[in-house]
Amino acid sequence: MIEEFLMAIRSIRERKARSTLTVLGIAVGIAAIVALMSVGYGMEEAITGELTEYADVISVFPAKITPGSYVELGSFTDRDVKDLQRIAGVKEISTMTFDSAEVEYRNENVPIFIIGGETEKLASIYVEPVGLKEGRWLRENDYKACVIGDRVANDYFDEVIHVNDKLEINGEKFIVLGVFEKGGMLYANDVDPHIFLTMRAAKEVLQTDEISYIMVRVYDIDEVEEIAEEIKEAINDNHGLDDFANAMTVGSILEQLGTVFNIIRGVLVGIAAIALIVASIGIMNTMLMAVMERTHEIGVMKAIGAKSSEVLSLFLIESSMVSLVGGVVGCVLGAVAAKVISLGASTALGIEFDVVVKPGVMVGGMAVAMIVGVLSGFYPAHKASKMSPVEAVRYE
Amino acid sequence: MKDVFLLVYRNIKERKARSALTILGITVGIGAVIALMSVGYGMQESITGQLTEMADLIMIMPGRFDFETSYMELGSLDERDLKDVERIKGVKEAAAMMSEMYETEYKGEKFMVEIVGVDPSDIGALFGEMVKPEEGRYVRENDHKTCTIGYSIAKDYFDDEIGINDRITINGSKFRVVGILKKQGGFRSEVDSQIYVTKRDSVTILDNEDISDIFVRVRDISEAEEIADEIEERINDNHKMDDFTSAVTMGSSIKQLEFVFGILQVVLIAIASISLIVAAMGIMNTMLMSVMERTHEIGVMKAIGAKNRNILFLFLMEAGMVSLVGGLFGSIMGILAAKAISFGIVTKFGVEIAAIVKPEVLFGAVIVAMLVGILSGLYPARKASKMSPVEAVRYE
Repeated sequence: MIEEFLMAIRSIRERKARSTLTVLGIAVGIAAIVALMSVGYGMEEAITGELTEYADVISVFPAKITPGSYVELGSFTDRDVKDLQRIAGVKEISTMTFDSAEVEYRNENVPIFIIGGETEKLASIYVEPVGLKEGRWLRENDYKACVIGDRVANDYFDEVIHVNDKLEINGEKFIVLGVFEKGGMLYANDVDPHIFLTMRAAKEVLQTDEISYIMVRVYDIDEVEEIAEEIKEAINDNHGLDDFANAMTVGSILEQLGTVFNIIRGVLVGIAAIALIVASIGIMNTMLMAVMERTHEIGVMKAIGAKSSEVLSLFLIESSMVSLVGGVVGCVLGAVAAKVISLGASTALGIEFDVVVKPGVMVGGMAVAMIVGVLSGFYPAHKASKMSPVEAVRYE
Repeated sequence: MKDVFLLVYRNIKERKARSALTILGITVGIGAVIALMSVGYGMQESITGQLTEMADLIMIMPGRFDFETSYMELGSLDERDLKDVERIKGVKEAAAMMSEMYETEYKGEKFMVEIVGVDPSDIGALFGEMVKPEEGRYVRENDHKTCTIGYSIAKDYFDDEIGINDRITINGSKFRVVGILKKQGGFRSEVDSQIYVTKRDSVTILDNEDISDIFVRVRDISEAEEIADEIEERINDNHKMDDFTSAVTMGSSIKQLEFVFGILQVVLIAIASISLIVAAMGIMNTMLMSVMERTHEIGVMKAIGAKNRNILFLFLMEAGMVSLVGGLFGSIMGILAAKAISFGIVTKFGVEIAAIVKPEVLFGAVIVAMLVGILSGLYPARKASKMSPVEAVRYE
């Protein structure tokens, strides 16, 4: 066995340029797959990682939600909230009210979405992940005060709004206490275009007692799906409708995201795998030539007693060694390429994510390279092993 | 020149298996690129095609598009807005829609459904030529308490299918179904789950005269953008706010979609091109070997007076021929693969996508194949041309 390895190494080294090109071919193929998988996992992680912190949260909307659209069907009442408090397993309930209002700043009038809620809850949902650029967050006893999103501060009005500036919301003066940082990929739509108030101020300025959103935290994450079902039923019963309330858990969102990411990764890797097919054609070509060049040698080996199976394994070892080296180089190249892509994405597009290079992907990449090598080396090796020693020796 | 071709042809034929594999490599690479481009164009066409039929349409909504993805409703339009819009030059017709989600009951089942009130004389402006009743008719001006329902409302929402002359209860009052619209799907799928009533009836059930959208058809499509700007200005003036309305032309939506598709195509093709790089390595490998094998022959040619550039040209031609044939086969394979993919999509997802094979794509692919061949043949060919005739002749 050791002898066969040594022979394989010798014949690979003998034809350096050829072996290098073959190795490079498979390396590029494997690198493409490893890089795409790592970037894909990285993006998924960036999105789901932040969500998993909220695994105990159930978001209840009085709306029909499909990807890209939010159709409000009405609003919740105090009775709904009371009913939810009575459901077993519910830890705490927080409500929000939102609607659009006319906002005036230095004689410009722009309609903006106002969100009101309990300040601590809002802080844990929005302030912790996004952060404030200036000023401070709302306190429960703040009254005519607000915190504004990045786009409200910088885009909506001709002049930039800062802390301690005054806005008029539906005709009432509010002082700006804080300005949010830019929301990034996940929070861009939730924070940037909005103004945040205390619940009391929001109800007054929007002139409503209606509740537009209920957030429920549960004690036990395992029960979250059942409790979500119960919540839906309780509210639908209250309103006498079949599909009025929409109770979403982070688990179900994660599941959906996971499926989407799997499809995207599948398509990308499928396309990248075409390069692997081309690389395996290259291996087959190289091996065929190696067999042809060494016809005489094979004849001699057979003449002095080498079995067909030994010749077969000799060439199989050679092709799988070439592809294994290709696989290792490819994994390294792929990991580096993934880092470069994520760096490029963050500088050019402002999308921040860390590449996740899974050991499983690396091992898989090398295994695939080996398999490709063995498979594409099989026909040439078989051809070599079936040669008639008499004719092979005569070949010059 | 003719001699060169004959020599090249002879060389390629002499090593059949090797040439076939090299050609196969480039065939697969080119095939992948062509298939992806054709499927991509097909998808783009099937989406924008549907929109192009509505190119003269401007949709006016009382809200804001953020990052062109999420829509925030900021209020509602009124009769005065409609009158002002109708008065703008270049506007052919304007149709007001009043819509709101309401409880809809049929045989004891209740759902929230979007009820749309529209002036029967405006239905043409709203739907154009695309939306027709499958059964029955549209609502008419002198109808009382009638409705025309979307396809999904009739077939999917309720356990029992709804037919013409059945009665459904909307927000407590009974309506007679006079028509069922054809299934729309795609970009007009919202029509499938709406119920249309006359404007008069909608004012009674919806209990207000707020207009939720205005659909405008313009006389001259090239003026659509300017008219949209003018509409925004007028309505913002009416409501004394900046950024209150969005007037979206179909033309701009098409452009955005095309932009997104452009990015998608570039990414996919870039990934597919990795296999072309691998194929290029294969060509280089094959050419290096053929140079090595024919060292003696090169020496003889040089000895009898062949110049360096004759030899260079000979090998470049060989590489170019191999890749040209690969490009041609690749085009055929790409077309077949594109057809297979679009067939697969139709049978698996029921989405009608006809792959569009553009002649310029095929032409470009063949050129790219040639270029890849010549570039990857350059190093081996130079190596051959620089050989010293004395040493080359001695080589056995």
